[in-house]
Amino acid sequence: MKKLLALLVAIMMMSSLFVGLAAAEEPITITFWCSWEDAWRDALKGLVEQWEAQNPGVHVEFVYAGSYSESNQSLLAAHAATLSAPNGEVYVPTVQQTVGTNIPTFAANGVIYPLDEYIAANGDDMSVFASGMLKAYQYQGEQYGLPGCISLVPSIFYNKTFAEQEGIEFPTSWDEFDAFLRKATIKDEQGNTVRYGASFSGWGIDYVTPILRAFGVQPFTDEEETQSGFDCPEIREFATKMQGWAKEGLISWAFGSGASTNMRQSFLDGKTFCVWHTCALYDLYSKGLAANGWEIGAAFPPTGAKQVAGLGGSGFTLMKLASPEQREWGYKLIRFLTDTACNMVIIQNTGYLPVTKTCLESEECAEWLKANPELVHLYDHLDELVASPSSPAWADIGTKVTDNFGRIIVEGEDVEATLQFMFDEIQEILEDM
Amino acid sequence: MAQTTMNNPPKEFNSARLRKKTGVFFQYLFAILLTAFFIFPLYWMLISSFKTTEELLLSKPTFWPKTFNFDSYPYIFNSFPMWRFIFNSFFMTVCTTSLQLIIGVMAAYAFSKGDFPGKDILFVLILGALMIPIQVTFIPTYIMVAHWGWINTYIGLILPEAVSAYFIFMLRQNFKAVDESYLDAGRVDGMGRIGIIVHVLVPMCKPAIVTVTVIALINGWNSYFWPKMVTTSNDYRTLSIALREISSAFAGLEIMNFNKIMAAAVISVIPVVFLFLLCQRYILTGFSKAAMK
Amino acid sequence: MSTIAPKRKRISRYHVRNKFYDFSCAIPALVFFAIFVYYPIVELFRYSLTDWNLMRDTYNYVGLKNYQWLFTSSVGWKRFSSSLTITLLYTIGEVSASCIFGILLALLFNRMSNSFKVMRTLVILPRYVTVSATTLVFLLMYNKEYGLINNVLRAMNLPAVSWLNSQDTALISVIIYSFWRSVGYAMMIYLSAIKGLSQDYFEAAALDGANGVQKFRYITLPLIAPTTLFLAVTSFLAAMKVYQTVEMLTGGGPYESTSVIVYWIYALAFRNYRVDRASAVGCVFFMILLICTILTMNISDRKVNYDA
Repeated sequence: MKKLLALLVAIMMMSSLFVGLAAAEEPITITFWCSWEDAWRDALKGLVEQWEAQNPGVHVEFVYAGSYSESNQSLLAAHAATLSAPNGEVYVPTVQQTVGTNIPTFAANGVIYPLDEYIAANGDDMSVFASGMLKAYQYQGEQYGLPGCISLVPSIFYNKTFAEQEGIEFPTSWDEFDAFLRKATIKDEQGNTVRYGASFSGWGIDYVTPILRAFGVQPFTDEEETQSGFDCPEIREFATKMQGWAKEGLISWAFGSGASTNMRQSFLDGKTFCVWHTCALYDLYSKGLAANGWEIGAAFPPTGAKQVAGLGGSGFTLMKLASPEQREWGYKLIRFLTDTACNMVIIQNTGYLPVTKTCLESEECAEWLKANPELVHLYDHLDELVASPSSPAWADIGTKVTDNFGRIIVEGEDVEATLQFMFDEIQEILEDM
Repeated sequence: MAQTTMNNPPKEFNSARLRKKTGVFFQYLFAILLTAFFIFPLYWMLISSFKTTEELLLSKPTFWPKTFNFDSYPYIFNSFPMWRFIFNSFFMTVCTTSLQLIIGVMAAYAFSKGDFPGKDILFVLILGALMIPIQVTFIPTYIMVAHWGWINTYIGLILPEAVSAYFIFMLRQNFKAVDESYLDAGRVDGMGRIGIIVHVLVPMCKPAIVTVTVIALINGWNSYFWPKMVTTSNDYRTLSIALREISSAFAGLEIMNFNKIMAAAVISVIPVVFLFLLCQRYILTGFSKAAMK
Repeated sequence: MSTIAPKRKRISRYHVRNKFYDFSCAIPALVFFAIFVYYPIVELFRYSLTDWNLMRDTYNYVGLKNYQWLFTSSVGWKRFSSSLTITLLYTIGEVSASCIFGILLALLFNRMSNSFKVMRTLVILPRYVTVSATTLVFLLMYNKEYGLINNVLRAMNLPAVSWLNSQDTALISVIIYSFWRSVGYAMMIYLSAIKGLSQDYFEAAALDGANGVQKFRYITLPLIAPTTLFLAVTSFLAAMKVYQTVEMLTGGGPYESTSVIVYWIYALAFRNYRVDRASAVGCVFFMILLICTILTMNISDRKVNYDA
């Protein structure tokens, strides 16, 4: 039996020699964990297969690992399993698609591997990436991942058909916002809101922080991100304003189970004038509105104390416990996926923004913008994007912030008391780290 | 009261019958209404899976689809490896149930009819296992299974659920009730230990064994907590956990796709509903036994 | 029995080897429980004394630091006490609702006819249908904007309720779901108990001129008290371990108002990567379950059968 197997292996190796595939090199398998679903996943899978075809000696196992947080749990399991595997089996993937917020924890605990040596060995020019975008994937000065797609959060999409019919212009500053809301909101005789002026993605800290920043709130007051800057007059102004609008039925603050789905649906049904969401859903929103015969408009968040939007999206990281050979190929795959050609495929399938200047200045990108002129309003601000804080405590703090704004804006609880409660909770988390 | 009865017996008789009749009528009425209430979510699941997305979103819900739309089912099968999920669920359920059955019957024999030192103390240990659910021990179990490299394997999925203390407990009660003379008769016929278990105890306790087996099958198909911990790849996910993934996948990207989610849900409940309806007799006798104790 | 006992003794004494063979039948089960129940519980306690986070391959023993965090730090204690309270509220809500309505349903459905048999089967069916599937249909019905329940409320000109999205209603919504699932089981248990009652009491009561309510209050209820106790104890212990329902319906939210204890342990281990702290909470949770079991066993003073 063993002899037969050896013979088979020998025949296979011989034949590969004859075909001339990568000399006598053993075929290597690398694993890619994807967190995108449906059409997005298919687009990404197509790209990975394309790379596989270009590199015949490498087989890529494309795995859908669930949502980003599910993928992280799996990674944790795989990491622990590999650490204690009796025969040196590797259960971790080679490349994981992940969000930047995981980088600090995973890097500090040796789950992911810095890319710097591969960047140097391949002589790759990192300056094509905008520095803010690289920073989101750094930990203690080392580059642990590359951004695969960038989203601008919150990106504002509004119903352009309504706007033109009713002569509504999307405001450029928060001072005009109240007047805008009153114009964009429609109520019936009983005073029930038929169409909200705006819907905010209140469930995600990444959507809320940039608005807070625009009001002048700093999440952290120091570079090391140990001192919370939330306790300030501006956050009270923000909370009071939002609560007032929500009470008047001018805005809807999407929060809780099914919030995201409902917000999207209500916009597509014409029950919301504009949504504050992510540019990644441009494709979905524009096609959804078009199905009802409406046109989509896009806008950058209004200016308050300053004009600002956050940097979202996801990137790719390399696992420390993958074999050196796997990592080497893994890096090549990452580099391929962040290249202009791939980047454009992702952009066109979703609405994400270019990750490199090369891509931004490319001809394909110019054509894409020509076909989707509304996106210019977002592309104009690409260098103003601010990355999320990278403190390991940020995820927990974020939950507290969104929870308490939910309490204030949706449930209408007392602003000062709730905020005070939130400051205490944040302080506790920071002290607990 | 008694006086009236004496004076007007026919009228009282009539009104009593009328009262009884109206009583029965209301009993039927309430029973039917309540049954409808309890079965409604399952009906809604089925009916929603046949609706179009537009119809699903109507503010005046329709209780019968205007047009039957069967697209959700092929869509679910095309978007997710449903056959794999179904196979995984099936395979895991059959394996855990048979292991629970074999090991359970043997242990139940040892603790009911067997005789060895420390029998009572060891049985207390088995009962004690009932008090330590997987919800308490999942972290070390998970690390142990990860250490053996069993994350995302069938063995990791099946083995930690291969023995049920509840199973052993129930079977032991039933075996104990079997009279010793039957066992002696078996021994006279030259049966060994296994022979007695297979040819005497099991046939005599058949209803109980069928009951626990059916419950084990249903629990296996529906089990969620451990399969969720130990599987991360679609290759080993069971239908029960895949359902969550399916629902969150749609919630992430698509709009309101509850018709498709419901189609997946319908697929996952068909086997248990059938099994339950086929074997309800055994499950229901199990109840009366539980209540008698 | 007494005539058989000496016979049995003689046979089992026949050979010492017999005892070993008897014992070996129990070996697979015993080994299993040693590996998958008792060893993990020891390990759990050991982890709770370390600072391990699952990602590192080394860890230190830190004594009772994790317990100190749990009981004395503001974050730990607040989360612990709130999740324990939520778990207890959920448990008490579900158990009392199923017991009360279980009796009422049992009285209603207590009729010997084929149509009632079919209806009883349908009422108990939800308990055996995959939880993942039925929670999904409840998610659909509970949906704030497009859900059936709110649509019906709106049609009746009543204000819509944000079932799973408000801290005031989320836990109740979860309990309603669990109630829907479990009340049929309670009904069946009560039905068997009621059927087992001797008719003599009722005939005697009828002669005394007792009406239906009185019969229920003074005869049925006291006689089925042991059943109630059995049901309450078993479903109490089962409900304390709730996880899946919460994960599927609310994900612990909103504002952690449905974050039950098992859900919190899971989140600590796999979201915050604090296996050490999660283990400490797990140990405390185990102690709570153990105390509850011993207490209820003392009260009931008889063997209770634990339906998982």
